[in-house]
Amino acid sequence: MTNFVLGLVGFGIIFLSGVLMLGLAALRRKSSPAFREIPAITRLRQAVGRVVEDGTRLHVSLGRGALATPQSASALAGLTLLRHLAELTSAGDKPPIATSGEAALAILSQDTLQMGSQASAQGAYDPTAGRLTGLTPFSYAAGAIPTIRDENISTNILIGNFGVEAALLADAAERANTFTLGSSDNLTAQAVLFASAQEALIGEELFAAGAYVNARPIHYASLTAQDILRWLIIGVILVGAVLKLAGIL
Amino acid sequence: MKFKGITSTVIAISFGVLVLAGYIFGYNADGSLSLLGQFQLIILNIAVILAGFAVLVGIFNLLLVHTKKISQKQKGAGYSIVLIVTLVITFLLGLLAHYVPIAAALFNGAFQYIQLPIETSLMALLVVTLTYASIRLLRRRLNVLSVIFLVTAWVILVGTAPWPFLGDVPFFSDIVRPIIAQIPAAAGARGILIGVALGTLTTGLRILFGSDRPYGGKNG
Amino acid sequence: MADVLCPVCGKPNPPDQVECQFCGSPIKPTDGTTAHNSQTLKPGDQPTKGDTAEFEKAKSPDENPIRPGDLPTKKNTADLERALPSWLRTLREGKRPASGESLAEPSSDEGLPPAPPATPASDASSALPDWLSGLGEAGSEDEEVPDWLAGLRDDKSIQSLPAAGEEGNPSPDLGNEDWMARLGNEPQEPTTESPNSSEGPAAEQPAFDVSPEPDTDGNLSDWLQSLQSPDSGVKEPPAVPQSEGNLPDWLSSLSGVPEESKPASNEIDQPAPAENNPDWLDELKMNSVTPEPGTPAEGSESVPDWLSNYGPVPTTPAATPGENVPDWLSGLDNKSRPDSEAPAALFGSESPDTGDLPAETPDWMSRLQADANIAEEPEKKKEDFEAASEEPASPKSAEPLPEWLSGIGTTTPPSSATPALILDNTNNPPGEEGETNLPSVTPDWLSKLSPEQANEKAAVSKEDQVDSENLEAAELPSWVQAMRPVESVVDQKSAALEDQVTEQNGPLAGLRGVLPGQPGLGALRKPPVYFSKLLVSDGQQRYAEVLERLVAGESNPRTVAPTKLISNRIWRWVTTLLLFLAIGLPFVSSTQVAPTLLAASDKGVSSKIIGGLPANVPVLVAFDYDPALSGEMEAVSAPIMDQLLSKGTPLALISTSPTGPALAEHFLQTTSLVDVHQYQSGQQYVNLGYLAGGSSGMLYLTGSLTAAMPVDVNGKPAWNSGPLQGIQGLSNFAAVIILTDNADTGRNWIEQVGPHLGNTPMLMVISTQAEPMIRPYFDSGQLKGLVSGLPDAKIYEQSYNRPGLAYHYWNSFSFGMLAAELIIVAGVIFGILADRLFLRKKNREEA
Repeated sequence: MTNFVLGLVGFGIIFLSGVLMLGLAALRRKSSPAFREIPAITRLRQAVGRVVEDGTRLHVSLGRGALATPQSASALAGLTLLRHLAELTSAGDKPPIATSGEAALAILSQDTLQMGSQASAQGAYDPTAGRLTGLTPFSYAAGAIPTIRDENISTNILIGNFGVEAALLADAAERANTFTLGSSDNLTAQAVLFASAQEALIGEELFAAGAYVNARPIHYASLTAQDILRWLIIGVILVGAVLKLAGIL
Repeated sequence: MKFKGITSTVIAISFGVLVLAGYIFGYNADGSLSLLGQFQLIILNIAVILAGFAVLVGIFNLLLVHTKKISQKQKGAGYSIVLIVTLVITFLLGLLAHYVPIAAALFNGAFQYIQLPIETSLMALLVVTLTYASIRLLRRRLNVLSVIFLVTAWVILVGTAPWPFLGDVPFFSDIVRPIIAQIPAAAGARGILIGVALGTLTTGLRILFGSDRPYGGKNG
Repeated sequence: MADVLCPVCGKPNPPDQVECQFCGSPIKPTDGTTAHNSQTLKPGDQPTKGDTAEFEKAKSPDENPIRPGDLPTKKNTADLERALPSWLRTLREGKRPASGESLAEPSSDEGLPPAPPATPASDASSALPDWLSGLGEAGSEDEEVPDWLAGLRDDKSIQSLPAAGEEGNPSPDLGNEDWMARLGNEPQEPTTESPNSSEGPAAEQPAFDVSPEPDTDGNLSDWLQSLQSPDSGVKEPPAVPQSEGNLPDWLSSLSGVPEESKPASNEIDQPAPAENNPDWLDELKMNSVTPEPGTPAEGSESVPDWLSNYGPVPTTPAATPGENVPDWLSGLDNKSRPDSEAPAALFGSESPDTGDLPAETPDWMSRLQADANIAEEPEKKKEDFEAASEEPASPKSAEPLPEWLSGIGTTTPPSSATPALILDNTNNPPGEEGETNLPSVTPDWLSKLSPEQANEKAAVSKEDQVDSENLEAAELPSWVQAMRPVESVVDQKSAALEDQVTEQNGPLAGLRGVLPGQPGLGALRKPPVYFSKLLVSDGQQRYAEVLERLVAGESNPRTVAPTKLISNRIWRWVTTLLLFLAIGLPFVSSTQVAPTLLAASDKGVSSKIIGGLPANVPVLVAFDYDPALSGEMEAVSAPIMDQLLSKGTPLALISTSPTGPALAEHFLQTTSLVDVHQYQSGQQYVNLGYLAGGSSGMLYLTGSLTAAMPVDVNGKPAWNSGPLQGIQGLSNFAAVIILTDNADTGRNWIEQVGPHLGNTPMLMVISTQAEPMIRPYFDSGQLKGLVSGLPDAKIYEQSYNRPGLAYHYWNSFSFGMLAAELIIVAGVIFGILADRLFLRKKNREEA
């Protein structure tokens, strides 16, 4: 029974989220919604522009989140950002490089880079641009460090499921004098990236990066749905805390 | 190409919905798996198998990258040679370990005496890296958040380990550290996790709706 | 001694002068005012109020200053008469009309001031505007309208009446039309005038005055007509109708006409014969030959006082430039050959006899004559002068010009070059130009002409322009010459005009300066030569060199050396060395220098649970930590696993990480405290291997344990035999111990597997970094035991007095943590100071 109730609650949340997203996406907006400015993404745009101008490369690291795990969401958010950045930088001299610590994620990154190069109709697709650098976290970090050092990288974007090994990547990027933007769904990695990376996205800003970079109605809708649900959860927490203090619960 | 995109989208959406439904309606009242639950298990098993097979594809891609690096004589080609050699040897040992005890011993030895020390060393390297990052934090980004972060980290460090010859630092070890770790840190972490969970939810829904197609297509 | 300024005209006078030698007004006050008025002002002196003009004398003592909003008050302007110049006063005083003459004759003339009425002054002042009322009073009291003025007025009024009848309403301001008409050279024709002179106010123009005002019936004044005839001595009385029927004495004396010829009223309708010159004109002619430098003679009764009093000083206010010989007078030389003495006689000389003009002429008269002679240039003639010059040409039988006008040389009619002034004047409509171009030398009574008469003259002048070749060029007076534009422009224009080709064909035939119509026949001149060589200045050359250098520099690639901050390397090595020493050196010493903690984080619950587990019931242990953290995790897990293994509890090993099974094997084989138990695979423990799917796999495990993990890492069946025999589900295990460094993994185990354990306790051994997220689960009771980090492991070992890795690591852990804390503090402080010093140095360098 408890499982069934929990299941129903979960289904209700999912259903509500879906309705909100579809409804908000269907609403025609005369003006783009106003989201708060995220300085990290602003710097990201500038850094990506410099990549094209300098003729250097963009390195996107997608982390080690397995697709069959809850950590796959951050990986998918990274793939969305990779797709847009690949289109932007395909006009440059060198295509971007995507490294990952999970095999299926590496395959998806290759497909994403191929789509990005085809969309720009300019750049040539390199199958080795999407790489699996390691199967364990630190081996993945160890395999990605030479990419940062030797591939003429000027901008590093660490977006996905990282652990403390993200500090090694950020340190290597700093020694190479490159720009680093880090974001992870792991709390420890967020703390590490806040201290070691030049710009860090905290919390759900990772999932908003795609909307900020390549805004589509569905992205706006999902961010708005997140905000609505967050406020609902806040209300439920406060009510529950009050009830608990009152001894009802 | 268009048909391929539509097909993959249909498959992804349909199987995603089924797995989601299986999580909710996968168990009967008596606790046994329902048909939907069984279907979900099958799909999950397929996904696991695919993930395992993807590892092989990834390893093959890794070989391709380093082979290209060697062929083009790029910087670090020597390390690429070492990587390829060791990868092939380990792969062969793993295949043979089930049948040849020596291979098994070697296979275990490679992990035990090579991989494990290397990774622990990398972890040890983090000590220097994080210490240096803490020193440079205020020089890189001097704002309120950075100051709060640094002060909090330092307070937790002081309260975690006793000082030599002095023991636990009074007030920090028994009051400050527990309060900070259990109240503001935990609360903030909970909030972040809730936000991450909501983001995970909406991302999954976007894939179920077909608006995000990381598996290829127009709007990847 | 300094000169004294005249209070009226402002001219300097000798200090001992009583009267101003220019205007004749008294210099020194006669009313006994303070001598301050005659004192010279010194710088810094405060201004003192004084009677600076005779107006002040006329001011009544009880007069209040004018304030805004006050209504004007009528004043007796007769008091202001004292401020008038003496000549004007004498003009009023001198020549009283003869008996019967009326002083107050409202005239329709424009220029003539209304004659002060004989009625009492109050009545007169009430009828007239206040500014003229005084004139009436003054006239009635002290002055009388001169006969000539009255006579002129009467003449005009009479002659203008038919003009008014014919042409409409003559402007009352034009009071000169009658005598001006008489001055004209066209007795039967409308006077020729240039267009500019056709303007009303243009009557003040000398150009206008060239031709006398035409009478409507074409009658000129007698004296003007007499000017035209060679027998200038024949004078006729001016046909000025006078209401009194009397000519002014001075005028009649000037003309030499006997008394019986004076009643011009009887001759109202008589056309003024042109051959009769007024006596005063004759006198002027005579006087113009002999300029009169001295004061005007006052002896002759025929000379009005105002004429006689007119001194030789040319700059008196009364002797305004308007009083100079107007152009019309000078131009009359071409028309009617007036006597040269006439102007002189008109303006102050004695009344001339018929042919006996006074010998002396005023200075201004002589000067005028001289100017008229100088201004003899054909290109500078105005059209009215042309017209004027034409007039004498057309009437071939015109009388010879008077002597005073004969001095004016003939001028050839300008071909096409006309002074710009005249050209400008031609462009301006009549009626406007005259006022702007008129100098102030012309008296008001000469300046007014009726617009109709002006238009007639303009029309006539236009007609005569065709015969410009026959016109004699008039002499421009000096003041006209001064108004003329730059002669060079005129010369260029004339030269340019002369060089231009006259169009022969087409509608523009006869015109000059026409652009050629045929293509190719444009400006027939040599095209300008352009240099093919680029002329570059020195500055431009410098700029070009700089630009060339910049462009050349852009094409040369500059290799940017990667910036390697030395300070970063130094800091890294220093930090590494310090930490290495802090962590490594305590290993050498076996003495425990760091005190042990007193209580575990879970307060020994885990130890109690482990101690209470049954000995032969398997325990599920999940090795879900990364190889990188195996050092900490093995040290933290060793005490609890040691306690568990010391009881001989069978183990089921599982991992959701691909490296978990290997780690499990390594842990059991090599870890201190654990390896002593020598657990064997398949006997004391079963390694189930890697569980794929993460949380999904865990969920799957909870649903079907045996199906999820059917075989061990060796491929042998795990559940039918061996230590796991009889295990069907997770609840069959004695306990579930999760070894993880990741808080997410721990949460997954707690959230996915915990609800399906039943009474089976779940314990967790975690890294210090995961404690904040896992502790709430322990606090909530979902976790039964929690061992977090090396401190808890140290306490666990201490409780059982079995020193292990935690014991050996404790000193290094303590020193290492202290070193890290100190390095962080020192590094931050040093970094802030270094940045400030660097900034200071940079600012100093920039400054």
